[in-house]
Amino acid sequence: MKKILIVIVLILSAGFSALVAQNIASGIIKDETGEPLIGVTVTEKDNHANGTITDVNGKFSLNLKKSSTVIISYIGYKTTELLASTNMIVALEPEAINIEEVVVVGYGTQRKETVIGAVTTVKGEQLEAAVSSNLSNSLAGRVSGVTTLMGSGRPGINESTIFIRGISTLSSGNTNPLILVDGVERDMGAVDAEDIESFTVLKDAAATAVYGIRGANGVILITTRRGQEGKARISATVQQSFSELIRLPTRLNSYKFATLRNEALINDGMPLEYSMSDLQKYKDHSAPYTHPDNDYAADFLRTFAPKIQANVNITGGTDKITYFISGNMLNEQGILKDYSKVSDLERFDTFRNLPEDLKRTFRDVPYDPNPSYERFNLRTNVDIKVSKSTNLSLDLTSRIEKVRNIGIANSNKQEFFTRFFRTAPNLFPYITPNGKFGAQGGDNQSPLVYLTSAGYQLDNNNTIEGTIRLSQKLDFLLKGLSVDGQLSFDNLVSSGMRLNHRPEIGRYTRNGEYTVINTETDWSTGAIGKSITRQLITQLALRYNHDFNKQHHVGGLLLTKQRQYYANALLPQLDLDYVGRITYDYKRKYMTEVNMAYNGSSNFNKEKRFGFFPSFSLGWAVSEENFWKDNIGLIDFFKIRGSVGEVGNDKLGNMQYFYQNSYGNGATYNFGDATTAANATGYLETQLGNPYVTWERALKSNIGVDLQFFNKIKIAADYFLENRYDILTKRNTISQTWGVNYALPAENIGVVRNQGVELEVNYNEKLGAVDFWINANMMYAKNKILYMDEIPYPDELYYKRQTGLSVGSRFGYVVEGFYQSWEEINDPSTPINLLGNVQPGDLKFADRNGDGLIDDEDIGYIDYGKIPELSGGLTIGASYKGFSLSMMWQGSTFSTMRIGTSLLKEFEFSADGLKGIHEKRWAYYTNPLTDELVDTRDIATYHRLTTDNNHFNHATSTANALSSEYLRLKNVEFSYSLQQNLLQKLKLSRLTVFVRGNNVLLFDHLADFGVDPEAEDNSNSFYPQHRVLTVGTTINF
Amino acid sequence: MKSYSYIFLFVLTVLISCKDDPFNQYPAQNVDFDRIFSDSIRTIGAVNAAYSKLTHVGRYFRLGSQAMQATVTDEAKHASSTTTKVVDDFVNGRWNANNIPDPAWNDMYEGIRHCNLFLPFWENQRDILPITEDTYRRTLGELIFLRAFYHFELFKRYGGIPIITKVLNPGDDMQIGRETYANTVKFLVDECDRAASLLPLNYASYTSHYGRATRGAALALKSRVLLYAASPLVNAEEDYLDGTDELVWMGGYDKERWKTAADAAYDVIALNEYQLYPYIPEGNDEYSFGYFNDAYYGTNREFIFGRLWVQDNTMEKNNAPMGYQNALGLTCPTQDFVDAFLMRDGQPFNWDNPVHASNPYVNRDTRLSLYVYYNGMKWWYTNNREYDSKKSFGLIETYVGGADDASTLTDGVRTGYYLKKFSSREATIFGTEYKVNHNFGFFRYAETLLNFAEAANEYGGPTYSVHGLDARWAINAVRDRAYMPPVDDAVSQNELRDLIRLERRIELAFEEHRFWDIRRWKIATTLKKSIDGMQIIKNPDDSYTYNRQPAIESRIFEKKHYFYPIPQTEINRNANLLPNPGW
Repeated sequence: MKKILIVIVLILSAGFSALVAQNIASGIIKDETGEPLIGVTVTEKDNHANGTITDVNGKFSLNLKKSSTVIISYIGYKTTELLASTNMIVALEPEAINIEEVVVVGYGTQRKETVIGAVTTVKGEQLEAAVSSNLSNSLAGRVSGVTTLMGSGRPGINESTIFIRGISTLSSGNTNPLILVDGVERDMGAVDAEDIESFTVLKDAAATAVYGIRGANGVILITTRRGQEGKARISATVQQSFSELIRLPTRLNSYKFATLRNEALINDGMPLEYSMSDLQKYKDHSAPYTHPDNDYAADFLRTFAPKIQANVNITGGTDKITYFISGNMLNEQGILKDYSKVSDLERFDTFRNLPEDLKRTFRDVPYDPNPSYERFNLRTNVDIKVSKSTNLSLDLTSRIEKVRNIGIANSNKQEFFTRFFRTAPNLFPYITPNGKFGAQGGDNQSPLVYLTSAGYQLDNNNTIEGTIRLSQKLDFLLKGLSVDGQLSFDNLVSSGMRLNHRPEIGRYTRNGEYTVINTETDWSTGAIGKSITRQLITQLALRYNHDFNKQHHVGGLLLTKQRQYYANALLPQLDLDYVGRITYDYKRKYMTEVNMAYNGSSNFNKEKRFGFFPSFSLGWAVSEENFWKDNIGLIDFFKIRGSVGEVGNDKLGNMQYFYQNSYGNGATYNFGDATTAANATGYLETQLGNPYVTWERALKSNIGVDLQFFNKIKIAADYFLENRYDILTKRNTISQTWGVNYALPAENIGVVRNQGVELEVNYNEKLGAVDFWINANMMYAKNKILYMDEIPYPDELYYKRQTGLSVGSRFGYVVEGFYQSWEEINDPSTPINLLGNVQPGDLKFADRNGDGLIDDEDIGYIDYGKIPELSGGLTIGASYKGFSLSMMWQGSTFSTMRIGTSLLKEFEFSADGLKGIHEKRWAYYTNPLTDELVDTRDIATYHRLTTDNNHFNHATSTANALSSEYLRLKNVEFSYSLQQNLLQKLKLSRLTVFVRGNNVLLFDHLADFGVDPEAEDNSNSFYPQHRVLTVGTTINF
Repeated sequence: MKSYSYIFLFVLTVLISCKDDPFNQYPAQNVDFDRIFSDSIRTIGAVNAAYSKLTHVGRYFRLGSQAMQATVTDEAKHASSTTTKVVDDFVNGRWNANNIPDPAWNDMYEGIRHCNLFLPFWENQRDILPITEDTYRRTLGELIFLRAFYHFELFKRYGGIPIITKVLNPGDDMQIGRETYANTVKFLVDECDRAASLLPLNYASYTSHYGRATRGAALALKSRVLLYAASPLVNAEEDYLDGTDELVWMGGYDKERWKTAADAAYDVIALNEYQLYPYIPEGNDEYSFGYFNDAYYGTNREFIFGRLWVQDNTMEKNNAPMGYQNALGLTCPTQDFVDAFLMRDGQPFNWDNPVHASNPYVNRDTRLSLYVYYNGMKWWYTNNREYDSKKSFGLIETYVGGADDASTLTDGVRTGYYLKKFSSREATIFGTEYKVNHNFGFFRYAETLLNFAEAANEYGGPTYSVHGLDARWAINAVRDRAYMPPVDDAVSQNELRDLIRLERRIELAFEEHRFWDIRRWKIATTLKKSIDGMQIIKNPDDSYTYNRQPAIESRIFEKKHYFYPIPQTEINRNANLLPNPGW
């Protein structure tokens, strides 16, 4: 920045000395190698409306009207002002990569070269390639130190969980980083990637200490774009995507299902359910009503779900006022098939075979029941130069979101897939011969009910976010001093409605008997509870920034901030912050920084409310030393930085007022005679308060280096160590004779250490006309519980202890194989299994304490937890004359997933098991229907089939807590930007068309179960993730 | 222009600094003691809540969501594959200190804590309670009684237990040990006496208080405690493992304990408050013990104390024969239980007797048809718009191929019987569902009479009399109500013991007595190690052939099972908590 200023000042003075006005500026503009540059913007100074761009030969000509100076600007090169003349030959100087870059940090900005905290910044454009409707999904693999898990693919409900440098606290709800959009706590999910200028992750104490009590889990700062001086520039992007489900659990057909159900019954010693003739009918599909063979995936899921995204933004302005105005819309459709026309039902035998009069009782559906997500976003960021020393900015964002789901009373958000995953293929015909919908019970009914007759549910979120900011330079008091104030007001209103209807459903048995389960209820509408949240933030800051003798750079910040947050049922939550920062560097060679925050949170008792959080950091740009410059040419830049400091975490789940004892008006009891019998009110202790409860503390240290070789390769490496203590957790050593199990107070007693490394490598190369780049990043974070109040297990039960392990480590049984025979089970040397009825083919758990019994005492540590310890991403790209190709790989490892119990249960009342499991099951029996011997003992990898859903085979063990490591080809993008000569003809400044693929390839270990490695732990149902193909174009005017 | 910006900044400064204590927002959702004692309704509310840990029909008794305790005794088999784990563990002896399929330890100590939280105010700070003297005495009695009742529930499971009489808070001693069995008995007896002196005889003039503890409840609890303390399991020369562990043993045999037990039962009788509920005449087939609407809340004088419960049809849904809509048929009485019912003339039923065997359900103790749905019985919902459309005659069909037969159903193998006791004829389970109050009795007068009969007979034989009442009088009262003939005048002490035990088995069936009775009589290890079911074949001439199905489910019982093991996690936490012998 400073260099630019100097250049500008010099040029300006030159301009004033040359008083001869020129009317025409013309010439040729070249790059540093002497190649002519195409499309360089040349404008008249003080008259921005007057401008031109260079042609294919780098030539330009401009008639000047007012001044005699031209401004020459081109992306990637320093903007230059020159006195105009004819036949100018200008060699533009490339902008030195990043040297002058400014980085957003907490409550301000800093020069990249003097930042000593662990900070990673990503430009907004880099996130666009991810084309997710939720910004949180765009971070995967792009930002070092950030791990994301995307649990669901459902439109509108698909945000990722974000972890910065792993986890350091004991309770899983309290790991979220603090997320600030333009300095305000806001939901980042709905921010459009196109509106983002930069995305910054603050990781160590030096970077986060200013956020004090809320900084311990890391901080994400999102900065939206602002106006740029100049002619109005319009940019429009339109993209159309097609999503397909990456994978679904593969299901059995009815024949296979019935055969295996019989097998399970034989295993359990129960009578067979399906006869040979039943099986034959399933096989030949001869009796679609009594013996249906439903393929839910084929019948109800379409191949592609469309998504449209469009963004138009205008930026421009004068030296007095600049603006950035952006509008965007997004419409993401669900993956369910359309059965809104009665004629669509013809594809089903069960409908086609109906007599005409019954067919006529079906009606076209006048609404779209498919899940969908629609969003409209309008953002206006305006900066006004009120006077030479006063800046006023006004940011206003408004957003409407509509989330639609299939209509099911008491809707679980994943309901359709819940049913889909767990319904047997022969449970009911879609339509019964009397023209009703088939069902087994209210929970298991023909999916056609949801798609044609059950109405829909619509949730609306309306958001308004506004910020007004005024800054005033106070140079007249002290050079470099300024003051600014900010007022933000956010308001989110959510409400919804439901169109209700329940058609008649009935059970239709294999014997052809029909019984009504639910009679029809009429159409009606109902409201879904409204929720209003709002927050008000006031902030006042005094800043100082001055260079003394161009050697001593001193910066300072004093800030106070107050945040009031109002959620529906809670009392207002209040945070009060006082923040201070001093930065100093000498010739940008030695730098130091002190940050401190004094914060209060209404979550705590008066005496425990405020905390002080300091941090201290040092940096040394070794490469600025003469001995380095003279001797080591290879490395252009080398900086060592280190920090130590303390930050806090006040997120304690949703609990407020942890510190108080409380007695709730809850327990009721019936007293009275037949007429007066009534629930009498009761007062129960609901919470045993802990008056000492306070925030968690994190003592963090970080050592890092920044390196740059040959101006091409940049490396940043960090080692971090965090000791999180005073972690709020409940004691496990309190005997239940206390009778407070339900209300045991949380105490600040846990201690966790988290340490790891981060590495980021950027490599840019230009080979002739080909630009080539690689970005690789990885993070390894390993935490260890140093203290939690744990049951004091004796040494022989060491494997039950969590202390010493990582947070969230998986506990369960260790599987040693299968019981292969009755002889083995009855052998006196085989430990007695107390978990259930044991049969050959059941899982054989290890007797870990050697007491000859398999019971709860054998449950212990088995594997990694859900959050991966190692994650990373690799982006490779190349461009040539407007063609650009890039791809991003992303993956993680050292993690496990517990397969959802319902996916494991072979036959939960009516549910179907998974093909993957069934085909590899353990079986050894003679089929009484066919007299055939079934023997899969040699190839079995899964336990025998059973109809007992509480069987110990389903308990958490090494058989179902499986590695969830994966590697994805997350994005592939191919784009073409029109070359300058064509653009000129079209009077455009940019035209790019692109094709993107997301989640293109996946390598993992969970295919048998049909679940995504990122899906929620122990989940029985989820809307699967998508593979997305997107085509789009961006046009700039 | 500049001045405007200063004004803006000034206003902001004021906004930030004007509140002197911005955190001062009283969390109104939380109630403290002061507020509870600010009026009488809230004050009594604290006592009301103390009742909430009593088990009830909504929790379907003791074993969790659906299984009844009876299904782990020889009374019944549980027939659902979705809740079998708890039952399986019990009947197969697969339970231990790491797996106790019964939530009482936590639940009861929570109830005890609740009483302890409020008792100090009643005991020491009478003046701050905004209630009248009558209410004060009554509520104090209730809190003392409930705390004793919760301790008793633990006592019968674990033997001597940690007795908790104050609220434990952080900083208190966490290593509280167990009292001996005898000391626990003494504590319970003293507390019952104390409660009895405070509680009213009944709530006849305050009908809205029906359901609260009475003097009779406290004395009935005392009677049961002393009966347990006199029983062979603990009142013996050695403990049940031939040792001398006073945590599960009274410390020696003392015949006088039977006298104390008889006197305690007599005290309940002498209240003159209770009488057996008149048996509904034959032909009508619902036998209410105060469970339903018709004898609801106070009008049934057999009902001493129980948990009143809301209108509900869970019991009916869970237990109605499988063939009916929405019926689950979960609790299936065993053949052993059905066989135990005497003939109407008081003689035992015998399969070897061709008359008995050809028509096994007729001429039996009338209670059989009140407790059990058996083959050929009429589906009995009187207001029966609810006859199931599938079953034109509304008869129970448990024969092979019948609508209620287990072999046509996928959900487990049944016994051929379904449980009828506790189901109301008023309640309906399909169509327009009609729900009925279902109260679960902990103490009823029939038990008191049988307690008395047992204790008096053990102490002095059939003729031993307490204030003119003897054991034969007591058992005959119960038999008479069921139209059964009186016991023989010349009955011996041993014969009468068997008859009393049988009477308890029949009369108190499915009321969570059998499970404990076979323990305190120390006969659990000698009982059959399995239960039997029944297969019924319908012959072409509409007669039936009965094929007994032996050993359809095991009933493993080892000596150590006489008491529950102390939970291992609790032993790990508390070094003073000694385990029970054998575990």
